[in-house]
Amino acid sequence: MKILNAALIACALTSVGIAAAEARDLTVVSWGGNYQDAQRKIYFEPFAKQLGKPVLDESWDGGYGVLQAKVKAGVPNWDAVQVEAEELALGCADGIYEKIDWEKLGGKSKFLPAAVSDCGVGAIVWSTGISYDGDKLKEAPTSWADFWDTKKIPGKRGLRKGAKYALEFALMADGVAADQVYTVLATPEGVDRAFKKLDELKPNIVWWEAGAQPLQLLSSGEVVMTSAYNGRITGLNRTEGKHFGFVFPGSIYAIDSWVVLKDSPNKDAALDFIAYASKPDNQSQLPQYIAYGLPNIEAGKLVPEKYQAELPTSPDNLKGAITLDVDFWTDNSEALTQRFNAWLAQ
Amino acid sequence: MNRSELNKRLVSLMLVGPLFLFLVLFFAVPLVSMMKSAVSDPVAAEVLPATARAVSGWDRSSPPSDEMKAALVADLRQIGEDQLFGDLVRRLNSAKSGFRTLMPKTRAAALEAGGNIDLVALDRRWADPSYWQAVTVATSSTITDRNLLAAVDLQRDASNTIVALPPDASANKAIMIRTFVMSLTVTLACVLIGLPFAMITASVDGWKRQLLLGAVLLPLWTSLLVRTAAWFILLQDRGPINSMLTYLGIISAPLPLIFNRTGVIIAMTHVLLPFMVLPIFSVLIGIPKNLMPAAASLGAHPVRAFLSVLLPLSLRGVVSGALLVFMSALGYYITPALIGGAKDQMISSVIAYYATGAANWGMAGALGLVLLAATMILYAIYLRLSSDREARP
Amino acid sequence: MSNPFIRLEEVSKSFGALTVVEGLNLEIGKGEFISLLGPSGSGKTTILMMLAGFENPSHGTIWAGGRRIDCLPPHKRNMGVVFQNYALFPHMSVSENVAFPLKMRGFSRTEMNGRVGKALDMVQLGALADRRPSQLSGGQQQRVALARALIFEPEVVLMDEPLGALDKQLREQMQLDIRELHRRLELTIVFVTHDQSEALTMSDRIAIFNGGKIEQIGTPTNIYDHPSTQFVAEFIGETNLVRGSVQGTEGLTTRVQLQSGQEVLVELGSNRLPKGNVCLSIRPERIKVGRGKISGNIITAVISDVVYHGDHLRLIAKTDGQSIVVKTDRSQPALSIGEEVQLFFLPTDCWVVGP
Repeated sequence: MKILNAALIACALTSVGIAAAEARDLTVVSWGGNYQDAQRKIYFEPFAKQLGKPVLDESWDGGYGVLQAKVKAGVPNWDAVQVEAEELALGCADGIYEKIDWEKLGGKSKFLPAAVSDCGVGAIVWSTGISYDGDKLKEAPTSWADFWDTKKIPGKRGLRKGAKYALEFALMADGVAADQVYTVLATPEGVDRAFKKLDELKPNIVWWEAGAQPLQLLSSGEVVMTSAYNGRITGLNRTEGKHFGFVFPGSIYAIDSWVVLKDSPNKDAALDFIAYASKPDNQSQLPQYIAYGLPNIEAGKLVPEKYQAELPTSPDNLKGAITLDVDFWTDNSEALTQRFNAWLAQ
Repeated sequence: MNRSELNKRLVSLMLVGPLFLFLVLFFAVPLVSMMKSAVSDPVAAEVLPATARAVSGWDRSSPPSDEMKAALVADLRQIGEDQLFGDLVRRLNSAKSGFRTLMPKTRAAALEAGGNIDLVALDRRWADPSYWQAVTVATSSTITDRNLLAAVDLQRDASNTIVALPPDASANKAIMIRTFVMSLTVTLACVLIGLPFAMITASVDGWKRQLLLGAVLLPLWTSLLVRTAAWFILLQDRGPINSMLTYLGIISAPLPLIFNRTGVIIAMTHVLLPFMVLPIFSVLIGIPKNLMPAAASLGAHPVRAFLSVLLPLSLRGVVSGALLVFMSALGYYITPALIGGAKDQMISSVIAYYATGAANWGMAGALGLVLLAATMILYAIYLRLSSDREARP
Repeated sequence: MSNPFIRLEEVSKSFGALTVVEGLNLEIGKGEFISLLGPSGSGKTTILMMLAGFENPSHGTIWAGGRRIDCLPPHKRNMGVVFQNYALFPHMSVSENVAFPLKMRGFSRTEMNGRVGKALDMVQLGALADRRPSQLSGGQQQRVALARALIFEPEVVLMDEPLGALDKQLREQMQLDIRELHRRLELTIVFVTHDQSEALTMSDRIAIFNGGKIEQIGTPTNIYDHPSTQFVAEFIGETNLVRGSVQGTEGLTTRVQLQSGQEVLVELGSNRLPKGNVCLSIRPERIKVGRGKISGNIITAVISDVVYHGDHLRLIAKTDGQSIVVKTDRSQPALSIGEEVQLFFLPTDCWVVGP
């Protein structure tokens, strides 16, 4: 019984949390896989040296309830966490994050406007789109319509398990223009249309949850195409010599942010860490490992030319791509997720 | 009662004290808090007291009155704590999508400007009675059956009668039934494999018994996640099983073993098998060794001796093993999530979504409660059946 | 035996390197009550297991009622077995237990009910038919086991120390009950026990086992009065073993000089003893104590202990380092420790049990 476990963990966390509050080192939480490997190299390890104390890092797969439970338990056992835009908005409204001191970061004007919030600092601009194994697929897909076309390219497809992204992609596959997607999705008919389109592909979908999973599914040949995060694709191509492709038109980009959980015992160190990770010199090293766009404007300029072309923020890649509508998902996430889960179960 | 007897009682109480405390802390308290979170709904009534009074006389269909709006603004100005406001927003938004953006916007406006605010001018949604209906329902009572109803795919409509949720909105009932069906299948598979295995283990001794018991116990010492991951590797399209079958020429295309029911049942059966084998084994080794020879000497063919003596006697182990396996299977989460497809998820994945994903603890509690109730009913049926058998002359 | 019902011919049984039964020949007549008596590990239970079919002989053949049975599985041998710990089926009621052999033989329900009722009445358990074995006392359980083993009218009933788990009083009662059943139903019973008094009271014949072989076989009187070996003499009843050397034979009596130098006469019937060392067995109850002169053999000894046993007295007398136990009735005049006495016994009361 999950709830029981959660309650047990909460009990245990409270007691352990109180006991360990002083002893625990700064704990930074990110999204795992080769992305976190890169972060460890350029952020966590150098910062630990500068701090003179170890920095612990953990990974998670999202879920607002996880953060909320940690804060409500009293003393959270995580300090700095990288969250998606929706979790940032929810948590900021609920007051489960510490407020950001922008002076420490050099002022709001140094960052992309979308990366600035009261409770979080943008960490990356990342894109979700179609990816495929260039070595295995003769004809590369170019659109979500191709993704849905199992005659043209037979085989299973991977999609992230959740209403978010799946509904947008389904509408694009059904012929909705990229910039019209959220207008259509805001109507009940639009939602029905998206689910109907998903029905078509349902037997061929393998659902994934953690960001590293689609890479494994592609590598093992379990799927021929999958939605994936662009940075991990280029990262894998560089480190393992793969030829995975990523389709930017029709992709959805969003900003992930660093937040500090409310009442964190390492609050100051966590804020220092965020400032360290946001410095142009440090942040500009990320694209050589993993092709994510940088929210610090100065850092973006420092990225060498050869990496620029792979970033979601490059002008060519922005063509035909849309930004995630955070407001839409903050309002509709619960209802649509419920319907999505019901749809999955049928 | 004399003094020494009292002392003795105190000492014995102290001995069970830690156990009692443990039970209260880690069993009773979480259980009660789960039940409470499933039905308690105090936040709106507490945070919006003026609004609650103002909407109590409203007919729930006419346009919202100015008095209601003023009360809401006044209440919003009173809320000091962000987390409390967050709870309110979450509560309202789960009844009607849109409050997530609407409420912070309204609160910000209310705090910025003094006096009366034109809510409809601020956001047109405040003219829509359905938002006010949500507020009315939320503030009307501090306990609710909303979560419990939703856990079995029901809801109250505008006229407060219980109706079914639209079929595409919720599938809790279907998932609950699936959970029971899958658990039963796993239990059955465990009986079919575990009973002969336990019988063979009990019939041999020395190193052979150690080996067979080790084969059962060893997986127990490995983490569930590792075992599940191992099955993931074994079962995939290009995994060892499919590769071998293809190599042997038995199949031409890989068997679909992963991301479907077959894979989940295989992996769960393996993971839960020890809980079947061990109870049966312990019952079997308790059966006197001379019963089978006795049956034979009385004229029973070995098959009949097995059916009429050994099998009925091992049934007690089978029943307790089946209970253990079934109850554990009900709560399975990781194995279906990794090995199953979308149609093989069990109720705990839904509970996990509400708890960790949506932070909707009320709904998570309600689903847990329904699962608990269903399990208790099954357990009661089992007790009834087994006591009937015992009582039989 | 002219027409034995059961015959074991040259039967051996070994488990790996361990030989438990060696070249055994045994014949059992119809309606006979034979006890297999011996210390544990002497092979008596293995014989029973081979008769029942739970063990197969390594060598040799077993015949019963003219059929060779050593190749038959147990359920086809039609032998009733009563086990040491009863082996009742715990999940069945008393009547179900007793009905089990009939059920296996496909009896009709009405016939089964009639027979079960009779069988339970025979062991006086009619009132407890619906109880579970766990609700019965040890003696009651044993009677159920007996009823179950007898209900299908087996040709032979094998009993493996059936009374071992009962207390003394109950055991004696059951001994009488079993004897009574044996007589009334004319059963052939093979009874394994390590309790010599049980064997003596119940059996028609006793086979004494030692180290996988039969040491002696005969009627209880024969075995008690004329043990053929030292082992049998000591195992059955209590005895005094006295060593000496043969001096000469005159008619039916042989003169034997004991180690103490005293001479005794031994009357062996037709047997003649060669010269050399012998071991004599004298039962304690055959020896009398006196101060005066009485006929027969006389040994002078010194009383070293007097033990009171309620119904009799037991004297321990020492002569030249050897203890001699004497059982006397309580009419014996009081003796004190250290007193010199003369022990009398008849030449027919000593028996040569070996060199």
